[in-house]
This record gives sequence, structure tokens and C-alpha cells, in this order.
Amino acid sequence: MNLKNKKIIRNGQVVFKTIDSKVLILDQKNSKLRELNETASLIWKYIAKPKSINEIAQKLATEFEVTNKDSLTDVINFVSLYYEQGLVDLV
Amino acid sequence: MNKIFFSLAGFLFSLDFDDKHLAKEFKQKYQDFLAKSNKIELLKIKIVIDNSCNYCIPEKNGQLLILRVPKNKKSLSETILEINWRLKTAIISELSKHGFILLHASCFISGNLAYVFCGNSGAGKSTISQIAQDNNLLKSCDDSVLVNFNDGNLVVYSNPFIEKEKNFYQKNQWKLKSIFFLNQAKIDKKEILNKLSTIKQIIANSYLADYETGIFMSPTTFDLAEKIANKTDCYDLFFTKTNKFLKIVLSE
Repeated sequence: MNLKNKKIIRNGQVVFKTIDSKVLILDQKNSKLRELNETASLIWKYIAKPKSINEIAQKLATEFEVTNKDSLTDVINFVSLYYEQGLVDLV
Repeated sequence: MNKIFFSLAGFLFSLDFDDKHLAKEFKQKYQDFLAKSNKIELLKIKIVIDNSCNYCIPEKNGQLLILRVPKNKKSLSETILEINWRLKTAIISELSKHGFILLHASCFISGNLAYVFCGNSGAGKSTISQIAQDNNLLKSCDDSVLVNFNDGNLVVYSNPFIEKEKNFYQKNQWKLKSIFFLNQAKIDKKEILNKLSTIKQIIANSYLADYETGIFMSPTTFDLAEKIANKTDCYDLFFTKTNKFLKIVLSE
């Protein structure tokens, strides 16, 4: 997947709630709740509006005091997985 | 007349039987939930005896749900039981769209308030019902508890779905006091749950059903779980299956 010129945004159809800083996503297909970890929760909240992977990685690096390289890996993993599952869109 | 009206949590359902004996048996068994009203039904259900099918097959035809069910020649009660399971799925599927949750739980009433106990099979739901009865508390349900948000309060409704004891059937509703999630233990104690854990437990203990897809969880179910977490004290209950839990549960 080429993410270089793309921006990532939450799929507006996905039902979720933020509870005590963590995000719970309703997986209607499987009737299960998915609890996002701290990193995924932060990304989820941040992509309410379209963001590039570099913007997201920068945000993570700042919040969690990690290198841009490490945070970029996390973002790419997040986007690949969540795009495949229809939870985020690329614009 | 083989058509009967069935009322649950303020909603009306019509059941149209093509077998008068079955209709009569159903009326007797669920008389507490029968209604005379001719208001518009939430769902029209037609019960069709079809011995060519091996099990009860639901099919949706516009606003009409047709349940095809084989008739047990030896026992009408067995046929009613089969219908009950399918009705439960159909009715909960409809009610979930109106903000209801059916919890896999038992419930007793104390001081006009409902205490609900969720747990898997063997967790102690029936034991709690029995202990409640032995202590002169009103049993409401012993296997499934219907909950919704009504006029600013969370309300528990008795329901006619599969219960282990027939004498639970009674049409009533109570304000929800607390929900406990059962854990087997050697010492009785309760631990309050945070909001996140409560929502997860509520969803995990909900009966989710849709007669079209087989399984269903609507956003309204999610919303109700959050309302319960916001408005009700929910606990993990460590339960020794003795009456020691009563004092713990009923204490503020």
C-alpha cells in the first residue's frame, strides 16, 4: 500500500466511544467490542480529520517521546490493519 | 380466533397461529403477557406448522415474520418451547432497535429495586434466585433480564422467555439498582467496576440476536451499555454459592 500521498481518516460509519481516554470500537460484523490500546486510541482520536502518516507519526513521537522512525512503523502497521478491516479511509 | 396479542415492555406483538390447539396452549402458558389492545404491532408474527422442516425456520416477508415450526406429536409443550426460542430471537432483535438489552442474568427485587446478576451457565444465577426466594425476596427472572432506559431511569422488565421455573412469568417492571458479574470464589466480596470494564461486561453478557443475520449488536446496544455504566453501580461479585452474598449485595 502506497501511503505517501494519502491522508488517513476514520471511517465515519464506524461506531465508537471514548471511555477514560481509551477508544472502544463496535465491530458490528462480529458483534464484539474492540478496545484500542493507548497508541491506537491516540491515532484514532487524531484522525478525526485527514492526516498524513508523517503528521500522525510526528504526533505519536511527541506524545510518547519515541523516535520518528519508531512511531512511523506503528502508524504504518495501524493504517494497514485498520484499512484492511474497513475502519479507516484513505483520501 | 388463533390470533393473539402479546405485550412486552410496552410494545405489542401479534401472533397468528394456524393451529388452534397450539394457540390455546400458548395463551395458557403466557397469559400474563397477553394483551387485548388493537394498537399497531411492532412486529406481526405468523406461526405456521410445517412438519416438512426439521427445525423452526424464520423468514421475513415485509413487516410479517413467519415462523415455520414442526409440531411435536407427543407434546405441545415441546412445540411451544421451540416457538419460544425463536420468538425470543425475533422479539429481542426488534426491541434492540428500540434501545433494549437482554442480559444473560437472574434478578431479584428488594425495596422495589432490581438487583441483577450476570454470568455464564454454572456461574450461580439460579442459586442466587433460590437463595433470594428462601429469604423472602421477589424473584423476577432467573435466566434473562430485559433492560432499557425509560424516563431517565434504567428499568428492568420481567419477560416470558425461557426461564427455568414457570412461576417467574409475571408482567412487571422495576428500577435497576445494581448489576453484579458473577465469579466463583472461596470468599464472598464485591469490587466496583470502572466504566470501561462495565461496558465490556454488559456487552459480553448481552443476548445479541437478529433473525435475519443470526447475530446483531446495534449502536443503541452500545449506547445503553454506556448509560448503564454511567448511571448504575456495577460490580464483580465473588460468590461462594452460599447466602453470605446477600448482606454484601444489599449493603450500600
